[in-house]
Amino acid sequence: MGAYLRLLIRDRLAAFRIGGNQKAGKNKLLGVLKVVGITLAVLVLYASVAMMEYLLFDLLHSMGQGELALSVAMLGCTLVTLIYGFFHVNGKLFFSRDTSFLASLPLTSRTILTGKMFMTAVGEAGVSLLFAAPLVVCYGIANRMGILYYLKSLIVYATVPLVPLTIGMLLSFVLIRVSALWKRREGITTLISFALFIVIMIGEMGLQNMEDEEISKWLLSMLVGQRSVTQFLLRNLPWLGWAHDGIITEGIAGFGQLALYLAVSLGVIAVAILLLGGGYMKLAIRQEESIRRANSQKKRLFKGGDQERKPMVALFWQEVKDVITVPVYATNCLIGMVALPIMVAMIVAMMAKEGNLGELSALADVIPVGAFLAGATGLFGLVGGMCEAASTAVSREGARHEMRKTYPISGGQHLRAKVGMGVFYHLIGVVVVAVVLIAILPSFWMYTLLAAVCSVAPALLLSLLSVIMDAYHPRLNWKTETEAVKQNTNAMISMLLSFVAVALLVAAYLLCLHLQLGWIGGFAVVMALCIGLDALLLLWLDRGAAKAYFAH
Amino acid sequence: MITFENVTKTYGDKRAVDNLSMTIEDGQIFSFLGPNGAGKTTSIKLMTGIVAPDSGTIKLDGIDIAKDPMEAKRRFGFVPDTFDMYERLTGRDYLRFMGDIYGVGKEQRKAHIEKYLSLFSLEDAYDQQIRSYSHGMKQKLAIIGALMHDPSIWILDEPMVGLDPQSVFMLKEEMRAHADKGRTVFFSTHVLDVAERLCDQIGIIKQGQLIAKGTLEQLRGEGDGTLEELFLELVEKGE
Repeated sequence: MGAYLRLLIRDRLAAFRIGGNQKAGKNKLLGVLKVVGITLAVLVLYASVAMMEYLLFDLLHSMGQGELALSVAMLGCTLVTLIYGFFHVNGKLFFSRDTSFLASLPLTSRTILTGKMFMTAVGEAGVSLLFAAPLVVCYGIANRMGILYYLKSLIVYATVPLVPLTIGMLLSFVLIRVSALWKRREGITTLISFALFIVIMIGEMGLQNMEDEEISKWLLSMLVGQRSVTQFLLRNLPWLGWAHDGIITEGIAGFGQLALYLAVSLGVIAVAILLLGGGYMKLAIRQEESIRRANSQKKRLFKGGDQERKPMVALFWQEVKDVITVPVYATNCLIGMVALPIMVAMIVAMMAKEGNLGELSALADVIPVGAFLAGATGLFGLVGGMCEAASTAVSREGARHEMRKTYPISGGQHLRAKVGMGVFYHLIGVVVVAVVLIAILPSFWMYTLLAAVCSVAPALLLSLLSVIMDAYHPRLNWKTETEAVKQNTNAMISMLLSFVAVALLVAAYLLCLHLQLGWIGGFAVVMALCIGLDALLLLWLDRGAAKAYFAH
Repeated sequence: MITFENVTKTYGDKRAVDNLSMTIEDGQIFSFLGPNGAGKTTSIKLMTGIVAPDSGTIKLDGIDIAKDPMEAKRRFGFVPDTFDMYERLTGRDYLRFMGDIYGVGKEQRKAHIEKYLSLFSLEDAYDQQIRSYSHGMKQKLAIIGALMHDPSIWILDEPMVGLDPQSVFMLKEEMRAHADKGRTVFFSTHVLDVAERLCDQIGIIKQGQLIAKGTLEQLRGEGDGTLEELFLELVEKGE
């Protein structure tokens, strides 16, 4: 157990080594600059999160509900781990390349599962601590808490992810157990992952509704002098309630609550590993071998879909398939894009349930057409901005990049196929949102369709920006698909760039309104600007970016 | 000693290994030959405990890998066909891990690593990340790791692929030396020339079934053809 854990820890720490080992001089300097740049970007992002948390605490503190900050941090950490931890655990346990190698070593299945879960928990603990730190510190300073408070907080927030991670692990086992039975394992895994994501989102939105009611109750009980801030947690997530009380209660009682919380958190994951550990490797190998099982089926030599295609079409469909056939890619690249249409659909469904849909539909009488067009196009454009498929399209080639360079295809064609793929997924998301919009505002169906068509321009802009950036700085040296997408800074930078681009377009639109160009005039100017930028970026794609693509 | 007794492994409709029975004695180098998809790698996966057979038993030094997998796994060292994991670790990290896993003492570990790093000219790369290694260097590192605990059985899947001629020569020498110590070497290969010159026993598998096994002379029978001719004749028979 010790040796395996040491290996995993070294492997994790090795990720922080700058620029490999043989690289020297310019490459080393570039590596250092890259790390400094990324660190600065992360620090800026973290500072903005910390600022938001400070504002939240300030609000709660002014209401005399400072303690609520600690509960909010716990809930936040739990939900974030529940959503993203599942995908992390699933990839780590069942899509690692070392599965066969580990199976040949004298290590028990339970040891391997424990090691992998330990490393996942360490990573999630780091995220949780970073997320909770601003609220914990704000509360500590405001209430002049002692060192014991900070120590207890450190223990609690480092272990908060354990229960949601265990849930993620259980879901992952169920998912693989079920999907391993089918030939189309990858597809089933992707679909079930998305289904789980939707269920989590529905749960979250339900929770938010419930929270509104609970907040009213809290305010009421505060008015009559009852202390019931943690009642919600105690009732729904009791272990978090114990953790909350454990942190703020002094003396033996506080330690008792903390011990109870730790016993539950550590106990849950220990029991899960104890029960599932024995069969883990068998399932992981079964998962790995399922491709062989699928391949062993007798197949027809030629199928209907085997007809001749133009190289560009073949490249495009290869890019599209690349994303949906690998669960890690599908869940990481498309989740943001899928989330927005689902959220829109769910908000509308909830409004319909509460009987407010009529009021929404009545908007058709007061919204100017130009404003609707601009708003809908912006919304559709945002759907494209949430898609990370384009920003990692070159990186995902990995070791295949060398091979692809041998094709008699220009760099521009390679990259255009990737841009096309980004726009394709954008349009899929747009269709869902468009259907919802048409359902709400049927009289605007034509304008909705027009906005969907117009949204191709901003979507193309975002895809072009993403692909160009990835063409210049791809991450080709990866061994797991997770590295290619999740641990790829291009995805983050590209998303930031997309937001900047959208913000600039919105600013241009507002400027047009300020210049009295009207709704339609402003929309036309922004569309022209978008198309012009698309043309410029296409030129850049075909020249500079295409050259850079072949330079790696 | 390695023993397969009526081992069968099925993937969907296909029998990857079909009722395979054979014994490889101590002190022998055994080469496992067969066309692509014949069941060589599956057989290796079965004997290393990576996958479990549908039926039959596999014993390593008399230990059933299904019943006592930990003890059986301590008996062999395994060199996979591709080594593409833990790329961020250094060669030193990896070998330290292998030494720890098999409980190899400090002195034995030091002597082993020094000997093989020098033999395979890997000293300069020892503290470099594995991702900077060429395929051949990775293969050499996997070999050093597999032999760390001086196993009684050495299993190699396509070991010659990617190695330079000098390294191939050294690897063959090591395999010979290992067998001469009374231990077993089992490897799969497509390089018939190596099999012909190096091996004490040869097994040929086709569509999961062992179609021939014995020394080169036994396989030749009365004829005097090369292993290549013999292989082609056996594999093509019945097609």
